[in-house]
Amino acid sequence: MKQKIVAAVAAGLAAVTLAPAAAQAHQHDHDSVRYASVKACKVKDGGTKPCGGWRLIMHSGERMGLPDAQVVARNADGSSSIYVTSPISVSGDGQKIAYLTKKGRLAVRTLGGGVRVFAANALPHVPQTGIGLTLSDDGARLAATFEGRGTRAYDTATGERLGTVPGDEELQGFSADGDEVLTRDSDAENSAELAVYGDDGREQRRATPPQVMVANGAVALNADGHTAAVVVLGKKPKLVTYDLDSDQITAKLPVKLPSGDLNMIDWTGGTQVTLHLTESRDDRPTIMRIVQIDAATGAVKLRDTYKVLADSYVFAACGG
Amino acid sequence: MRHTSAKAALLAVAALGGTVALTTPASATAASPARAAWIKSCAIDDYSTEPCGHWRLMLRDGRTVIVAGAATTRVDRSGAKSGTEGLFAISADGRWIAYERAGDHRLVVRRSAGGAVTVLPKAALPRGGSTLSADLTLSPRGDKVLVDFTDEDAGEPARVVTVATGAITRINAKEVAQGFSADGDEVLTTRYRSDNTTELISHRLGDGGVFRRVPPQVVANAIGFALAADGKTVAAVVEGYPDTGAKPRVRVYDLETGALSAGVTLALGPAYTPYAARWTGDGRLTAVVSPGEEGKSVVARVLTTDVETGAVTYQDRFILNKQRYTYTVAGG
Repeated sequence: MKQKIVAAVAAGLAAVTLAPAAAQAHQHDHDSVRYASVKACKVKDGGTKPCGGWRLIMHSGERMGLPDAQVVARNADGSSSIYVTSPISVSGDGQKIAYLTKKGRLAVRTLGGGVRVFAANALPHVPQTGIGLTLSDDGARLAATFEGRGTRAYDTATGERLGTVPGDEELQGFSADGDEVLTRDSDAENSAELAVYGDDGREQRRATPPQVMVANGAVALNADGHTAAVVVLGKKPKLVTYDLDSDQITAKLPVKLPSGDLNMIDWTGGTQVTLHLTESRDDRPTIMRIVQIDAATGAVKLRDTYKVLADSYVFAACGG
Repeated sequence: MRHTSAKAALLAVAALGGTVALTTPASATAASPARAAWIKSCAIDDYSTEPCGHWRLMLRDGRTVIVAGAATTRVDRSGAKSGTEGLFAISADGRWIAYERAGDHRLVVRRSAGGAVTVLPKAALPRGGSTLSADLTLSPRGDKVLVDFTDEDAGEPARVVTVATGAITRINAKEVAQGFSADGDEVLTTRYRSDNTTELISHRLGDGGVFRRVPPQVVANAIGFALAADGKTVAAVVEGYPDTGAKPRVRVYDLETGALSAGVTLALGPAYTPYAARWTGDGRLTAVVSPGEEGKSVVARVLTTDVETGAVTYQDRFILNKQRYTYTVAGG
């Protein structure tokens, strides 16, 4: 999720783990979370730090709190890190939020429903500052990363751990249906590899793709478990798709995109890729634009645009 | 493998076959090819150093001669002295040197053994004559000079200058020169594309013909390249990593067909990544290894490696003085 961190830093914000976008999120029958944000407060030396509680900004514009969630991550010795926000993730459909409770337990809350607090041993003994969370598009799966220790995949309904993926591989995210996770690794000659694991932690596929697939930020995995996509931004934007099974680039589609840096890329249908693009603007609020690309034709549709709360220290968008 | 004294004597005899045109006082009687050149480091204060004195040419017969005509440091556009060592290059055959001349900072070429210099046209450098952001490479036989630009002059096209005529071929400014082919008839470049990939391009200097491809990651990430005399076969040197114990490797890539060899692991330690690689006439690579720390003397070894097996044989060995600010090797 490195590129997301970069995007957030470019926006003058700190980094958090973000969840994939959802195809259905804009078609919700009831309200859903657009993004989670925590306020920035000034500190004496002129910088800022997170303060107050998490704010869940809804699609309707309403706001909700998340009072049982930890806001500032703790260091290994239990002291406050002051500047690092505790991990949080909003599912693509905007219905589930994964976070750490104030007691340091992993929890997944469902909008209008209850909260599932995971067993104390769900998390390894690592400082909160080193934990990253990623919910699947439908929120049924949660992946937690621990700075190089194994990435764990959980069932959010039961809190059960399904499998563990090697932690020295960089998590890219879930496949569109949440059945697989995509990671990025290095081979012996330092070429980047893409690997697909089942949520049981078993490796299914591994390939060393062409340069373009590993030179353009996050890689998204289709529900089929073997079709990957990246977007090339800049003067000649393109959607590039790649088949891990045949080791072939399957399409390079010119696309017309609004301005902004890549915040997220997700498959949201068999032939649909959704991008979250953020445009950071100095002292003015960051603009989020969400576009859907038809991966068969290259047609682009603007799904949603919103301004992130100007006082945000950090935010984590969902698909909504 | 060290040379026996008998072998060294043979080498010296072979070197005598070259032209013996010795005019510099520092030169002795034989026209020995150059192995390397270095320039001394002087302390400015407790924290920094700068190049000082003259470039010193290390000859294969063991002598070191001073190249008094070469500038110690470069100049910027306004003619002001910089803290960067003057440009200096040695042809792969060790018989020619190119450098920026002390005084007027024009680029010149002459025999390692001495003799008159050929002054290259002013157009070899950007307007204003700045050498600050230039890189200098001599073709393997010393008949052409490649001048590439970085940093503040990155927008300048690289120039290939034919020494005998002064004719200049310009390369697209967006490309970064990687060096000459084994016969000097082509120049290899890389270009960073708008989709964040690296393209590898071979330019034939005679008629402007090109081979170009976006190679696989392992080639794009290589630490060094060597273009064969055919203008399309590229050896890509993959860096060794002492942290993981990974030894340096070589992959061979065909710019015409896109074919990539499975590669070989070189019979060298992880810290011994070869540089200044070039193809020999018989389909092997010759290169240099000289791992070491700044401020300590270092043993440099010239080796030949088989791209089919990774086997290594050593051709030459010399010591880089611990007082060096920097150095360059023949073909480097």
